[in-house]
Amino acid sequence: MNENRINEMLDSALSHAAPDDLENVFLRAEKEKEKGSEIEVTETKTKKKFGKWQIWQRVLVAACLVLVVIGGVGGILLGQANAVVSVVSLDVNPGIELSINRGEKVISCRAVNADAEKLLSDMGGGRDLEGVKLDVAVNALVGALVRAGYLNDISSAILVSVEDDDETRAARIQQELVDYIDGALKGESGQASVFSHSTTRSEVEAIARDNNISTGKATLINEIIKNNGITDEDAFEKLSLLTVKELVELKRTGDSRIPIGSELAASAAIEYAGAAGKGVLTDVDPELDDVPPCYEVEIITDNGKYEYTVDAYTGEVLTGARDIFASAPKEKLTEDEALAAAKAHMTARFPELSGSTPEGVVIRTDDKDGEYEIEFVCGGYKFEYDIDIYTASVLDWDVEKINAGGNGSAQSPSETTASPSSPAPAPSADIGEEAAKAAAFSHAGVKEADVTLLRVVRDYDDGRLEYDVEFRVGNIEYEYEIDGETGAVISYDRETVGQAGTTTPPATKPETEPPTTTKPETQPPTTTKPTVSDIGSESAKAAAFAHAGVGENEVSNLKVERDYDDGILEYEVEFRVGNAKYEYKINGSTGAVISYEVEGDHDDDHDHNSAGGNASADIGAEKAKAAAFSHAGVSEADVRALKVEREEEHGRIEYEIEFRVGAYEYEYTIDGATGKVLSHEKDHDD
Amino acid sequence: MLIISGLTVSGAHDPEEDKQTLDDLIVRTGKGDREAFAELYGRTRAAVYAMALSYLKNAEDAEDTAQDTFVKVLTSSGTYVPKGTPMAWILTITRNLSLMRMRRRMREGELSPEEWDAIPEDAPRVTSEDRLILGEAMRSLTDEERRIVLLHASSGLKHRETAKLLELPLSTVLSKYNRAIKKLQSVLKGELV
Repeated sequence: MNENRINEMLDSALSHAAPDDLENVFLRAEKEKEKGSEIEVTETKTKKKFGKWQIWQRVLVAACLVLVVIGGVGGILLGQANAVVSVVSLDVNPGIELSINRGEKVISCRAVNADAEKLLSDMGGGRDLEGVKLDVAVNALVGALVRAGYLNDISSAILVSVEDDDETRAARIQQELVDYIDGALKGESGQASVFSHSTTRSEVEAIARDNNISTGKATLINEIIKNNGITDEDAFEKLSLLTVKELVELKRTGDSRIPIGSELAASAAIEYAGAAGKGVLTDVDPELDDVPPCYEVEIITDNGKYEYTVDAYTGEVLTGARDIFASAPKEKLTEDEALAAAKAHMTARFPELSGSTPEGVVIRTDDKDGEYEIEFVCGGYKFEYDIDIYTASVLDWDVEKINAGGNGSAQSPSETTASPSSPAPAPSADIGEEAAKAAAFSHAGVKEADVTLLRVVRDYDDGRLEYDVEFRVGNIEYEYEIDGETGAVISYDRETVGQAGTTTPPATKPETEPPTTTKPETQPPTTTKPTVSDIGSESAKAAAFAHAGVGENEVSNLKVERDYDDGILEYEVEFRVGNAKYEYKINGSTGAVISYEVEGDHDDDHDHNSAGGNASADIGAEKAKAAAFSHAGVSEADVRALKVEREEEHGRIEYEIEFRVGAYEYEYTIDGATGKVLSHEKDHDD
Repeated sequence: MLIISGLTVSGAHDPEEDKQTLDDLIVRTGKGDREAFAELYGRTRAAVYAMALSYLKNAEDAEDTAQDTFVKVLTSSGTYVPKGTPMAWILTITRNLSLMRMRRRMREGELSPEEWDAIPEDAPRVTSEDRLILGEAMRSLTDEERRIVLLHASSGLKHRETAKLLELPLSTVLSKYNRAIKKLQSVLKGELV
């Protein structure tokens, strides 16, 4: 079957399977337009999040419902049947007050603001609920709120207030309502938190009506003004514009300032982004209990999403990209720009680190998710950032304290501004520079006094703290990588310098790592090192020499590196014999030759593979598979969806091997003659 | 006015002329021309669905996202500035909506690696041949290969444009496309003539 036929079939299949419901699109667009004409920046359908701590919420549809039940005073005037004994108010931005009588039936249902009027328009403006039992009415209201998208987000909040002069009855009704609402939310798959309180009827009623909020929300505001010590003259009016979620967070922080509100935060971000007048959508999530208190604003454009943090009190934009429409053709950021964005974000949160330089920077490009993954260490903290590849927005971040382990390099940012919203995980240890040096010297069998040109660099490699220790003794140059947590020798290299052609002196001590004697006593149980047996570098060398058929005395420029490759302990053994350069990979647990290469040998200038022995033209699918699994560090038993394809391209045999392990998808191209890995990819299987 | 008549919905036709046509259709949609939108919908719905399906791997989600895309196209076509890349404009919307939905699914823990059904059981127009080829495209191809092949088959985009849209190097798109076609050829061998 040719390519065209396949394309035709796919096109036809897709066109048959694709939805074909134009009417539905028109209908939904009409609805969107209606919404759009009333509220410019609103979209209720999709809620989402990107980072661990970023829970987004729509501006102006900020979710909080106040249900107030008022009772007590009305009784005398209105007679038994119509006597109001309680007022229940529900605040989710739409604020609704239900007045109920002694029989717990609704006497009246009042919308306290425009959102509520809209919501009640399907219920005869609230009249449909009159005469209905309270639980039925509340169920109906919660259902309507969920359908309108107010309560679908886990950051939504619903505030239930019961006002009744009879405290016992108020408490009972409050409890019953919370139970109804919880039940109704579960039934409607809503995710809101429910807050509740009960009060006696009071003077807040008048002020609540003046400000178009429910008496329940008014009570909460009064509590905040009192408890937080807010002195602003217009505090009530300003706070009444905030959502219940903002109020609840504000109450928790005890801050005496008044947040600017989601709307202003969104406009600040829009203006900063140069998106004013572009009709963009925004998502705003208040994080008043973050440090610093902020609003997380997401601006959604046709070109993608841009994320901003806006100071909750000053309205200053703390992070985010400017002029997002100016750069119409999307240019990828350079790694330096991405790193700068991460640094800016870090210093905004940890001002005391502004003078420090990030060390051990590792930047990976994740094209699939369109982000740079950046790791570095700064001021004793390890930071991880995901930076949007185009916009420099911080998509996700994490900070972890590195415990100096008593020997230390780390000064910590002050406790108050430390880790954002989750406590830092258990600290990892750092043996410190001195212990790292000592470990290297001890392994090399040298005294510090004899050492020259010493250089110690603290580094992060693949998330592992390492010390690179370099020094010379006489004309021998040593390079060590020391595990920064355990003091173990990860790899070492020894070269004779200055006198070309001299052979490296034999090792003066057996090299069985790790040298446990150098470990500091404070060392915690090792967590990062796989517990596999280790043949040691001497045996690895011996295995390589035996395979090459050479004696150690014939060898020059010997280099042995201990390495973990995808979780497999390996020794890389390099040496020269005459003109030939040998490179071996020896399995560190079994001593097996994983691969070897000889270069410059007059008659043998090509790759070899241990499995293939005398490099025949085709190693076969089994061996190709084994090479891929070995490289990937997986065992065949864990492999799913395995595909092996043999291809001949440019007169060469190649094996294309694909498989999945866990959530990862692997693709290998293996040289059919040598078993060498020609290319490999590992993708998160999304 | 009658530029569109005589053009088929898919198959071989002049890509430049197509772009011009789609640009016109979006602009007219922006001015409230429902027929133009209907035409646009007919011409692009397979590609939009392909894009959504190749990300979401689930027919129901892909259908929803395809419809969401067209609602967005309809409501924002008024601000569309023709730049000669109408298909990319539409598919970028689809891609963003798909990614949003994927992230939401991931957050809600609904995503399992093997969970996909390319085609709903009750899709009346889908033939058994359709089922076979789409099923193989879902089963045999990697995520990126699937995106590239499905888009190529349905959108009429050039590899260069696909590369830009998917934010991949052109060389990757070319090699993955060739590899994907080879894979499909090999799995379909003997099953179809």
